[in-house]
Amino acid sequence: MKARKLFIRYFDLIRTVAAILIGFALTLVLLAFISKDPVKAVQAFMLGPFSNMRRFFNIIELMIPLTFTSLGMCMMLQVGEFNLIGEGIFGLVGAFTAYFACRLFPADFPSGLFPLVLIVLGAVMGALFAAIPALLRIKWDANIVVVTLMLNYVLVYFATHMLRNWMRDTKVTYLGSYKFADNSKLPQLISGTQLHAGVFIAAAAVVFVWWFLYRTTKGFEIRLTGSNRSFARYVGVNVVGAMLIAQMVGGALAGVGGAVEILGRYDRFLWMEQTGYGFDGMMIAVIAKNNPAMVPLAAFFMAYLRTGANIASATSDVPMEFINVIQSIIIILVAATLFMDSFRKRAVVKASTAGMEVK
Amino acid sequence: MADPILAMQNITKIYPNGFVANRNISFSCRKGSIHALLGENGAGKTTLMKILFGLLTPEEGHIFLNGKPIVFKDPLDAISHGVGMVHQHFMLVDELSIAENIVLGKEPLKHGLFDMNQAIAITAELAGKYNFEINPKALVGDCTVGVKQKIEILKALLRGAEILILDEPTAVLTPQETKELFVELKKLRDMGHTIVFISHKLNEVKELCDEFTVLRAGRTVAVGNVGDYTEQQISNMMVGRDVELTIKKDRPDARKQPVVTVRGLSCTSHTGKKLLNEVSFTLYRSRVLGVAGVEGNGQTQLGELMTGLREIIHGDVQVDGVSLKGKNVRAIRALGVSNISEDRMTYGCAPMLTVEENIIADRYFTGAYSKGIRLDRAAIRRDVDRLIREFKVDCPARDALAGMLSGGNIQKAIVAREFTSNAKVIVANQPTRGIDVGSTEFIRNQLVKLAREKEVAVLLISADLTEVLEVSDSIIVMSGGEITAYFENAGAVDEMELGNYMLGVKRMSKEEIGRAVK
Amino acid sequence: MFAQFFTGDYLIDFFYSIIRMSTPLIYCAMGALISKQAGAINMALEGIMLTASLTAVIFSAMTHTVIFGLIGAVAGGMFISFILAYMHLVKQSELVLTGIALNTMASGGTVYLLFLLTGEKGTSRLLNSLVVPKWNIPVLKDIPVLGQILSGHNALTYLAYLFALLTYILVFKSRTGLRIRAVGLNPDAAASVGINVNKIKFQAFLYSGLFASLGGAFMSMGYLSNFSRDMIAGRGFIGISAANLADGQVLGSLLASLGFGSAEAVSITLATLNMQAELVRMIPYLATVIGLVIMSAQKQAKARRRQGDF
Repeated sequence: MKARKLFIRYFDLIRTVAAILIGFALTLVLLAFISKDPVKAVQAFMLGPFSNMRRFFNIIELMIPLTFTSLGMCMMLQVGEFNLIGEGIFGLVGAFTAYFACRLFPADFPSGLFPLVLIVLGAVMGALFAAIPALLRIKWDANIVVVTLMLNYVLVYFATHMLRNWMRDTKVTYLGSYKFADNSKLPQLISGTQLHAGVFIAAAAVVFVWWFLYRTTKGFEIRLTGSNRSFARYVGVNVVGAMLIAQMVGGALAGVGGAVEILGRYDRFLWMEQTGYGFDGMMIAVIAKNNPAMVPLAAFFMAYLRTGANIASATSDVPMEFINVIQSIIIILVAATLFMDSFRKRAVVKASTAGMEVK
Repeated sequence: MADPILAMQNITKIYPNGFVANRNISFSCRKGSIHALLGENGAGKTTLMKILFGLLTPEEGHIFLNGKPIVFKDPLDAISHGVGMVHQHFMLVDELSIAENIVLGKEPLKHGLFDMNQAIAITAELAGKYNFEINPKALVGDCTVGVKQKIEILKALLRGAEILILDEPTAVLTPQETKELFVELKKLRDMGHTIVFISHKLNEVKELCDEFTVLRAGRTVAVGNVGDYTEQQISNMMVGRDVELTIKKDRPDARKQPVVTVRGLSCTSHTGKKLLNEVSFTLYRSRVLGVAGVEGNGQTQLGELMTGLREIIHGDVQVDGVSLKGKNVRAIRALGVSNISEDRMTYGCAPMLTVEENIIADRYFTGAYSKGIRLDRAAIRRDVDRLIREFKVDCPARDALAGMLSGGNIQKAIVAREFTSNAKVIVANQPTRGIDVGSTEFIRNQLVKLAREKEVAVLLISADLTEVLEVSDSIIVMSGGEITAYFENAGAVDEMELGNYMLGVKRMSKEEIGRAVK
Repeated sequence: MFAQFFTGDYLIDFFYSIIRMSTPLIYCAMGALISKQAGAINMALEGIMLTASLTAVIFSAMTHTVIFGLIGAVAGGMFISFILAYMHLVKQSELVLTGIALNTMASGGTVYLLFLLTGEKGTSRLLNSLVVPKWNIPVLKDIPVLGQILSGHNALTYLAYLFALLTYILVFKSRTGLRIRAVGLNPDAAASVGINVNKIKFQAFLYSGLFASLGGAFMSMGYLSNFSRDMIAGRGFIGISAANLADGQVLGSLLASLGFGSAEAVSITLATLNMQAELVRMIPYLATVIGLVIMSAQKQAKARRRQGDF
């Protein structure tokens, strides 16, 4: 009786976990198919990330950009907009940050201030870039999914253009920018790992976004607007303002993510295609049900998957890309309202008939 | 009636929430007749017809078609047995031609492809047979409402409808279109079809129908030949108080202090139909003005115009001398206007937010509940808990999702918000529609209390006559977007009399109506 | 540099490449159009095309037959389309989210499959796959300039126009098409006369997958002679935009596809002239955004005029 009630109450969570487990099961099948030594591949994938300190910290390092992009996506989805510009913003702000760090700012810019200024600039740029599709949608009702996916290509091509024409270091054989000024970089935390101070900024961002959405008047307006636009209008909320602000904050978060990633993990700018962090961020936001408080957990999970896949592809004979398949299956199952619904219905019916007998 | 083509016997329908929509109703009609099904909003007409059309399954009762018992699984089953229904909202595809709409689902083919010429021929032949003047090639979207209705009727006829149910078919028609429709319906009757005509307009019933059945509060209260009764007599059968709810109410303050003045308010639909025509009245402090009328006679638009959800273009609404023209919702609410919307789930609440969040949705930004940009959680919790108790909102906790509550409790949460916003004016539109008796009584009492104790001016829009009569001090009646009657003292109004004005049997003079302004 | 562009050869190449670049967009736009008419745009077209371009290569390499390559493409694309239709219509998943997830799945899944078969992750050059032959049109090919532009294209390019015609017949002349449109425009009206709305939508999704798959096949059996990872590069969404731009009309979608194809041709031609490569590559995507925004603005203005009030 009690178990059944708990099942109904936490059904959403149970469903998500079930989706993840199915994803894992399929992973094993995929790995078994492709690898000559499936046991080794599975081990590398599942246990690899925990096999030594450096690898474990790889997960944490990867969590940092994912946290920013998924927080940004939470903002978009909380106001009810499928704005996917975060991917493009992450890449382009990364390029601008790199340009600032290696060309525009004097190398002797005060070290404490340097990364901070760049990150703030990243936030501003992110907000401005996000405002473009948001306005196109608000003003002309343009299909925001297609518009932002197309703009992502534009932003990333522009980033590559910057790399090639504004900051290419011709002294290196590959296509890369000049080295960033030492002062500009985020401090490294633990030697032997790449963990950098960005992790604190990411943690602060989680707290901030949660606080903003659930504890401030603006955040409340955003959630009202996302939950029921007609109702928001009826109680007097400036719906257009809420939509714009939410998406600009979302863009700012993606921008900060790009800046932090560049300043924390790179010496030179090297990106020439979409990083995929934006899309991973979307998936994390969906798994976290748009709740910033759940983002770290979901981001950890996604970072674990990616790290495991990385290790598996480096140490055995499997390609990294299988992980995209797993991610997608999990997301599709989470997104399917009626996935496992028959279990819930059966439990509800049993619970209510049991209740009747008692009466 | 010796030979009914259709008979429904002892139909009882109870909705899952316990509401009894039909109690032991019997209804039958004679082949080749036009039978009026009459009753107020909520009398059970729609439920009965949904049962007949296979949309609902009754708890008890039987349906007989040509004397044989029958059960319709779904509308398609009903259609295949010769029952056709013309809904109030047309089931037509505007972007397709008339012919395509008519043959949809049973399209003629030629060489494996859709045969448009054949479809046009079928349509033309059908229209010719029943003398309907339509152009099969015209787009439905370009047609007038009257023509769309004809298309719906032809659709049913093509599918072999012997019995046609028309749900308030004239509500959307102009007088000329109505006249045309009646000619056609009479022709259909003469060709042997049976028509069930659901309506509120007694003059139309008088003109068109042969027999009638009156439903009231889910029961059959009268059956007869239209010719044997006057409009007055039929109207008296339709209205009448069944449940006496006792609402304690002091006499209103003799001094009348105007709060809201509505002057010459008009609005038009995008098709050019006048929805509201030169409506003027005044709301006074501590008094309740009831707006009686059948739904869809301009009340929705009146409510929207007075609360900022619709832009005021013709006429004016002033609160304490300040015009609402050009003001947004928040500014209007700041002037002290509060609103219970008739569309609870769209405008009244956000089902996916918590009860707490729904209750503070209009006031979270005020000094009492926020410090700067920060929400004052302690204050919010304290007041929300108090309001939940005060308004008897039955919910597991203040952080339960609003959408999980029953309709009555959602409405009580909405009332808890709208009645405590320190309003000077409340526009309450259908505040108790579709909710349980207990919540209904509670909300009505609260409305009266609010007026008397908090000195609020109340506009109560309701299709429920009992509610209007019980709660209001004065009453206006709306019909066809206009005020057709004004009663200074609601206590002295006879519901039969009110019914006459609501159903368009009578209309007061300009001078009498003008008293609503003074 | 520009003078060079306007010499005859460049112009001929340019117009030739418009027709070539438009081909996958036409197939995709037709697929998008069918689903749009049914009231739910197939957001997985990108992934459908990508999957089809790989399965085309695999099947043609395995069977050494071009036609089986095409059948393989259709099978692969329709498989993805089937998942979308099933999850969205039966399990009520969010359409956009599911579509994007399927695109991601296709992006990773194709690489996985490629690696499984060849041990490579970049291209399918190790697979001995075939290409669809080029057709030289008799008479036309001998006309100077015009012949050079219009003749000698891949057979799938010519078939694209045939498929556009087929789409027109399917959507606007067949019984299924009438039902698809009715379902898309007013599902309640369609249901009221006994049409199974979900079934019709399901069919529309499958047709949509079928048509777009051929666009995917063109990419790996015509445009290039093998599969390479993420080779669709947004064309699925550009095709969707073309159908959106034309509001679901066949001729309009065809013209919009040619328009976006021109943008790609401009981009490619400029790239060969050593213009700033990345800036030039933005052109098709920017053109799509601009096209979409103009269309939305116009549609909105029209809706406002019609409504008068809100």
